Amino acid sequence: MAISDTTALRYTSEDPDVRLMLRVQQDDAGAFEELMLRYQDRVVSLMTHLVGKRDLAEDLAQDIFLRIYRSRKRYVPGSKFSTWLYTIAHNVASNSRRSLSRRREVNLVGKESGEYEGNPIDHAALAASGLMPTRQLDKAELASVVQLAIGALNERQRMAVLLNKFEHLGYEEIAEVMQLTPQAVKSLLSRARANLREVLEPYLAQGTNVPLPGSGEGLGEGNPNSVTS
Amino acid sequence: MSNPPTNEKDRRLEQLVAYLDGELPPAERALVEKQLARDAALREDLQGMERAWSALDVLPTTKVDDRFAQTTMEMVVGAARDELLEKTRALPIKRRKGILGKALLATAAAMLGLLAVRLVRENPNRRLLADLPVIQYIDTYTQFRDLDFLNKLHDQLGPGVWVSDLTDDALAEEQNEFLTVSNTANRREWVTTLDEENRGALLVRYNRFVALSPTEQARLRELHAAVVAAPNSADLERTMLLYRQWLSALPASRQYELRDMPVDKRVHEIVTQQRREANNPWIELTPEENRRLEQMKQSLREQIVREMGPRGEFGGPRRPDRERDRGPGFVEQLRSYLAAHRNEWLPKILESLSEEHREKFAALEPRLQQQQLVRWIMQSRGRNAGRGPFAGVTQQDLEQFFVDETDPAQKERLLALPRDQMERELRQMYFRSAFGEDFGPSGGGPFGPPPRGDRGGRRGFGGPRDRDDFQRPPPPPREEEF
Repeated sequence: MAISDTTALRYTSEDPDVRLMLRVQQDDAGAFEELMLRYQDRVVSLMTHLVGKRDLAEDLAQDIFLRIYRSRKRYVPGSKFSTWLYTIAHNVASNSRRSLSRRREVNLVGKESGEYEGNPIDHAALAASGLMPTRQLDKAELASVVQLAIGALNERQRMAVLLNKFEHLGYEEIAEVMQLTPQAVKSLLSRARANLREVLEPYLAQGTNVPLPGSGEGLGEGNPNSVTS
Repeated sequence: MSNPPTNEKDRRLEQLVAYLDGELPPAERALVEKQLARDAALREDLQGMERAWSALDVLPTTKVDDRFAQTTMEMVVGAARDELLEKTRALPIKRRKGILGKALLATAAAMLGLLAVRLVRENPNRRLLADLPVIQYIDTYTQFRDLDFLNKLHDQLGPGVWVSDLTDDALAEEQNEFLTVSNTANRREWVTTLDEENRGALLVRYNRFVALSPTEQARLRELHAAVVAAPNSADLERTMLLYRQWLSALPASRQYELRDMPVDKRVHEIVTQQRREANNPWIELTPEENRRLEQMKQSLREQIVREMGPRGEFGGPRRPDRERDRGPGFVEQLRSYLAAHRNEWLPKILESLSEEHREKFAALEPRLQQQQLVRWIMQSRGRNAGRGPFAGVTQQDLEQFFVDETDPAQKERLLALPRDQMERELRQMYFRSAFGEDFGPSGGGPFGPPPRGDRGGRRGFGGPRDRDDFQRPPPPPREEEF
């Protein structure tokens, strides 16, 4: 779809990262460096949560930055820079998963949680129940359980959750990144959140005082889009 | 592509999640809120969903290290190189030589060049470690061009003649540090053990080094290599470190002046000054004498404060108005006081001294005796603490002086300095404030030891180590480089 001059102008004026990318387009190495430094931690975090292995995540993140560099001459500011970047990240992650699947070397989070058959959420809930504490959870233990829960989501749900929760992308932006409709994203996220709740609820009910970062009593303030009741 | 809700339960779930995400239009949002108000089960659902969502906050965030940026940039350089080759190959041979081809090559080469520069910058620690000795001792290495200077200095002064504020232990420590920094294997560890202040000072030196021309950088590297490889390297290193310490007490203008002199003249100048200092008439107290003098000083402080008011060194240099700066200085008053009460205090002070020092003191002419008394009083704590002649003032005095007596511009300038340099400058300002503008370190003023008068300089603010006014100004430090 062609991007109108008005749209390009709007994003250029509103998004400083778009302006940096336009400098990269003009072969400004400094601008590329700045963009990379701004996003490298976020991209590696995203890929780590997606693929579950730090070294693989770093390789994929480098591939993403390389693609950004190679695409610079074709870049047209049709959205926020971050949306464009996460679109590339989504494609890279999908290609990687397919490639690994073909080589039967899948090491994604879901697989790492153990060989299983049937519903991964049921499996995660079952695996998590084996870790059920009889005392209050500490942060590291809770992180393990949360990783298990994230790993139990399918790839699309996981991507949608990570973009929404950690990159603060709205439904429309996620839809653009994942090439879905906003309604599809809405469904995807609702199912993902129901699945997360199914795995995590027993823990959270058990350890209601688990200290969570950025939340007064541990719950309810993590997501800027959330509404506390 | 759309996924319509398959049943009422799914629809309700979607609405609830979209409500939590702030994605509902106002009308639907109001509807959900009404339902929540009357449906306890729905509220429970919402809270459960929110709890699970908030639990994701415990997931760790990732911080990548330098290596990631470094290797990514290497990949990008590779990509740029490939692009360049592809584009040049695509041009007909004639056109490759033509204007367009040249322009294209120039553009692509510029990109590669820039990226290569980025590569070096991406891992500044590598460069820092490679050039650490030259960076750490940049203030000294920029002062001479070859070993001839150090050799002549060593030949003329030898190991015994140097007059330095460095104690033997401190000098040995400096020599150890020099050897550590010179050894490639130790550098990384040495840097990691630096505290925040020294790291900051190193950063300033690093920036000075990278601001030098490549030719000058290479010259400094060769100079260091020559010092280390010289047959008499231990002597040269020692001479260099003593010279460095001596130099650091000079004002920048004097350093500049020395540096521009021909080697022989410069060596002569330094040696002359050193010999004058070595022959000074002052009696250096032992730690025990200093301790006893401290006790005396306490009594004297109380006496003077009672009779003169809280001024000068004992009460801090604070004055009620600026007029006092133009009046007689504190030292002048102290001298007058000691002269007037000589018979009362002198025997007590002399009791603090060893017999040998009492005899030496007795041999001084009265004017010098009076100066010596003031000097002891001013220096006793500083010498005792091994922190140079201006350490008689307490930290509290300095802090109070900083708060009360410095203007905002001075505060800003002082705060921008490494801590040791800031303290040194503050101490200078403190004493200048107390003694007037003629006061300089090591005796530029009326009561300083005459032989070191030149050395102290009139307005010496410490050494060149962290000063840049004798070099071109360094670029602003890049914090991320460390």
